[in-house]
Amino acid sequence: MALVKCALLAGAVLVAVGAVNRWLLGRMPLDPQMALIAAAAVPVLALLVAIAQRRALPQVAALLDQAGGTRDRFSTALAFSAEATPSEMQAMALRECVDFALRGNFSRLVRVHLPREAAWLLVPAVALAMLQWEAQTAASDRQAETSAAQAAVEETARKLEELARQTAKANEEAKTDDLKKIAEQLQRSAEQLRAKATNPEDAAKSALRELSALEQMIAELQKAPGASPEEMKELSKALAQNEATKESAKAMEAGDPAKAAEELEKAMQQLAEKKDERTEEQIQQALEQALKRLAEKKQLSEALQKLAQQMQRAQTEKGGSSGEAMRQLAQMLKQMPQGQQNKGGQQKAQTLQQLLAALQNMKYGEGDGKHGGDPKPGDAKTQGLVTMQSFAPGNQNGEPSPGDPSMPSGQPGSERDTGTTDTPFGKERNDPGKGAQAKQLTGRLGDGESLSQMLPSAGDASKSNRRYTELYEAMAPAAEDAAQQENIPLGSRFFIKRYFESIRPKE
Amino acid sequence: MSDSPNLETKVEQFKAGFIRIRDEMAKMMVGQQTVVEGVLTAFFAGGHVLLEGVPGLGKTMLVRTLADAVHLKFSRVQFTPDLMPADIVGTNMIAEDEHGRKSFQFQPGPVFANILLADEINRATPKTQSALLEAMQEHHVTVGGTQHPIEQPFLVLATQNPLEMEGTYPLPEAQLDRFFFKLKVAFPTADDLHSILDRTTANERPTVSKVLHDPQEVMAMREVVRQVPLAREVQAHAIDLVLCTHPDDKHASPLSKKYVRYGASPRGAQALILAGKIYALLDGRYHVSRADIDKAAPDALRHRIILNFEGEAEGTSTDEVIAEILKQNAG
Repeated sequence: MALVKCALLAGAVLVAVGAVNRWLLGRMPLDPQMALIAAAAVPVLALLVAIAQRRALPQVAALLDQAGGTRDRFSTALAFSAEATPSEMQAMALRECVDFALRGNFSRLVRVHLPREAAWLLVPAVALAMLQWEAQTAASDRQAETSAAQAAVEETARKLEELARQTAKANEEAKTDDLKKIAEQLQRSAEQLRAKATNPEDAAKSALRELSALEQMIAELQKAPGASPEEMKELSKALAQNEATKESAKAMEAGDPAKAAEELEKAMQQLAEKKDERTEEQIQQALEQALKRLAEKKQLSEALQKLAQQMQRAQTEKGGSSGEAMRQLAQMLKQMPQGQQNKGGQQKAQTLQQLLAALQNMKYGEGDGKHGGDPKPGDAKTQGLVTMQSFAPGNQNGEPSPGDPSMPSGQPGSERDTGTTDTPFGKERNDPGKGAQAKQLTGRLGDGESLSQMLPSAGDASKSNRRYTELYEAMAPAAEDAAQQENIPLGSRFFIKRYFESIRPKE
Repeated sequence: MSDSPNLETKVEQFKAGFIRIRDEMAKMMVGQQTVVEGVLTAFFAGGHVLLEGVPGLGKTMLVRTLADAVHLKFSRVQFTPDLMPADIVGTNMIAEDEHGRKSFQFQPGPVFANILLADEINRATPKTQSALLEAMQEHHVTVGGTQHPIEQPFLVLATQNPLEMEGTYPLPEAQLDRFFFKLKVAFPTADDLHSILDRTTANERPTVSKVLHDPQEVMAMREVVRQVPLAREVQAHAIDLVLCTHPDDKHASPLSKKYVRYGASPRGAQALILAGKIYALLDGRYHVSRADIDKAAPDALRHRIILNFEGEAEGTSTDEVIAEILKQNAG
């Protein structure tokens, strides 16, 4: 029995190790090499155990006598042979036993065989085999999933690599660190996408996350201080309308904001010396109109937004000093980094814009026909557009009318709340196509605040510091009042009453 | 070692003598081979036998036949309630010599024989039964302060009827223990009855030849038996069997624990070994094996195990207890 227990214990340990390998570490219970080593170790261990548990001679003799039906001849012979001076009859018995042993063939009784208890090892072996089989099945499933996931992200990864190549090529002309960094990041993202693609369901999410991260990075890089080339062009046009600021406009067109600022300050000084407020006003109006035009076309850059705000503030605070607009513009131009408006900067901005568009194309799909006649999300002009529809007849805000029977009553127990249709309002679903208005909201995914609300749930499992009887006495009147006042359906009233009776503390 | 051939011859003579006596007795006793062999075993082991069986199964014939075969003095005592100890052991009587002088002279009782048949021993009073104790164990009797040895070999064959228990005095444990074997004489089968009737209802009756001619031959054969050696393991097996009959022993069998009041005494172990030695010799071996011990166990232990009230009420026999012990100690 001890051997059986040992075998079972060893088997249990094997299975436990296998299970830990399989379930916790996610590996095979036994790899082929280990299995071979274990198989080879079994006979060696068996031999060692057999040597360690070698039976004494009397035990062997008894076993032989028992198995061979020798009438205890081996035990007797062993006992009598140990006698220093055997008696006559002992000597005769010894001879008879020896003759008997010589006549018989007892080698079959002492054959080397596996311990009978070894059969018990079959149990853990089968368990291990099942674990191994299960692990192999799971591994093949995982392999298939990985392949599917790899296939799912391959297109995205390939596009990212293409974008990385194009960005690197663009950087050969622009020679900026940002583009180089983006190219490297694109390449890295493609590699990570392939490496992390193990689950087909997560693969798409992972690709989207990667694209969003890249998009965010590029958006951050786009937020460079200063105005965009388009904005500079519009401002230069505005300045070019007046003779005094023509030089500044030229400098701006040439992409030299420092010189433009210098020329603008000179013009301001000259106008101040001449006290030509009318020209200043004209310049301010031209600038305001330019800003307005730009704002209508697209969102202003951060620098121009700041400029517009400062101009507006200066106008309200100082009573509309016309020179203030030029001073603010000069200030903005000074703050702009040198060379931003040169060819390299333009190239970089253009590349970033193209990259962003390409990433958003990849993110939202490139007009696969599902959107029908809607604007393509991948279109650079309509990127990030989200279409929302409100369909609340009679109320443009979509709020339920107080007397509308299709709306929830807000009163517990109301028959209106017993839904009989597939909508929570108890009526057939309204056709959103009729009388609905489509609203197109512009926005950028990820921007804006998110709202979170903490909802209180049932209490935790901590112990109450109040006796149940006291709690019940305090709460029972309130519960009865509530049960009487609320509009409880008749069918449910009995159950509610019975529930309160069931929780009443026993006397 | 020089006289080994002598010993071998003695062993052969023992075996041959035993078988011849058995065969001679078989002429008279039909279908009771086990009983005959048991009686002979006890006889050559130096013990006494208690025969249990209904009347008319040839118990007296068995004893008489044995006495004839071994050419020994035979006496028979019919035990009755009014039987006195002196009726068995003998008494001192006044005798007058040729000169007219009177003196006490010991008049030996029937116990002074080589083979004594104590028929229906349980019908005598305990006092009378106990008169046999000294003779059976010490092989002498004491009358009037004088010990009178009994000639060897001495065998007491007592019989008792298991059916008529009315007005009987069951043998006390101490006296039961003195019997080497308790043999159950079974009713003969139909074939055996045919043979019995053929032999006893015709004019020609079988005669028993004398196999032994001298009591010393019996003693010599007994000496040979006692020389048979046995290994320690075999002796341990006999001891285990005896210990297993004791309900308080840790190796006691379930039946022993439940139904046995007292287990076998050391005399039980002695009987096992001695009987085992004879069985070994009969099997042509010079050593005792466990199988020999097991073979002797029922006859040697059944009267040495005292059942408790529960065991008797349940109708459990001591043979069942022994069978379970043998099964438990098998191998």
